[in-house]
Amino acid sequence: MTCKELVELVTDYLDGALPPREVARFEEHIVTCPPCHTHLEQMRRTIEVVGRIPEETLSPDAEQDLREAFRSWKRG
Amino acid sequence: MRAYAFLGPAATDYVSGVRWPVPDEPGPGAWLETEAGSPLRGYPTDQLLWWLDQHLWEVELDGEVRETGRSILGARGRLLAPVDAWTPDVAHELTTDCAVRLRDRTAAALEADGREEAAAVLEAADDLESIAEAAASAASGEGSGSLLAAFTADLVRVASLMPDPARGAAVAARIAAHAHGGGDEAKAGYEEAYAEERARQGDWLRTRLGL
Repeated sequence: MTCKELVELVTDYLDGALPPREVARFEEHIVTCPPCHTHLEQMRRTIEVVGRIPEETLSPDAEQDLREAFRSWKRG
Repeated sequence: MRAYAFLGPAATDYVSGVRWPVPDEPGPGAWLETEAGSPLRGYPTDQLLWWLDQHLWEVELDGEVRETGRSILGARGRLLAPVDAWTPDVAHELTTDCAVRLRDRTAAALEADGREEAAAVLEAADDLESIAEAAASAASGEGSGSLLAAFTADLVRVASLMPDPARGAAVAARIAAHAHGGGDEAKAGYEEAYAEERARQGDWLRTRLGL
């Protein structure tokens, strides 16, 4: 597994959505690649923090900005 | 169920990020309960090689325990005792073992490529620094020996860049297995050769730790 592949799979890994063989390859990469380990930790921390923000606390502007950012990201 | 866990600073699992409670005195630590879907991880002795880190502990897993390929997962667990046989020196030994074994294979390949002199220089190298130097010098030519020499030099160089000897050994072991597999995951026979080298490294570790 390359670093690029790992970055693409990190959310699936954290969601427990990867098949066992891919989990093994993912974790082997993590153990031997400090930058990817840092990325995993940052993603884990982000999900932990953002996961605590209730949707109703977002202002309409912030919600719109997030939707735009998401659409731009999906368009690449 | 008894198992082992490699942990980093502050008794933190490098992969899961879970921090285990360390006992204040000799004897078991406090039980750690985890959230549903995030079980604690322990490892059987024949899978330790995959999880190298600074400290090795014997652990007890309880609750709903299940074995996956390389791990044992439990709903709760506690640290029992550190495994003192795992030290930075042993990690360095593992790195050296991987380098020496790859050195020998590289020297044989260089000889088969008709590069007897480069093979002889590499075979005579008996510490990590001289292995890296001889391998880097041999890597510039043509043939399969050059590719293996590049991996040998990389193994030593990249392992030395890691933040601690355990992480260095983890990287060295992975590069060695990749090189023994031919350096290309798509190549026929890669997976078998990779797994064979990983199994050999695992045996070395288990024997060295007396587990």
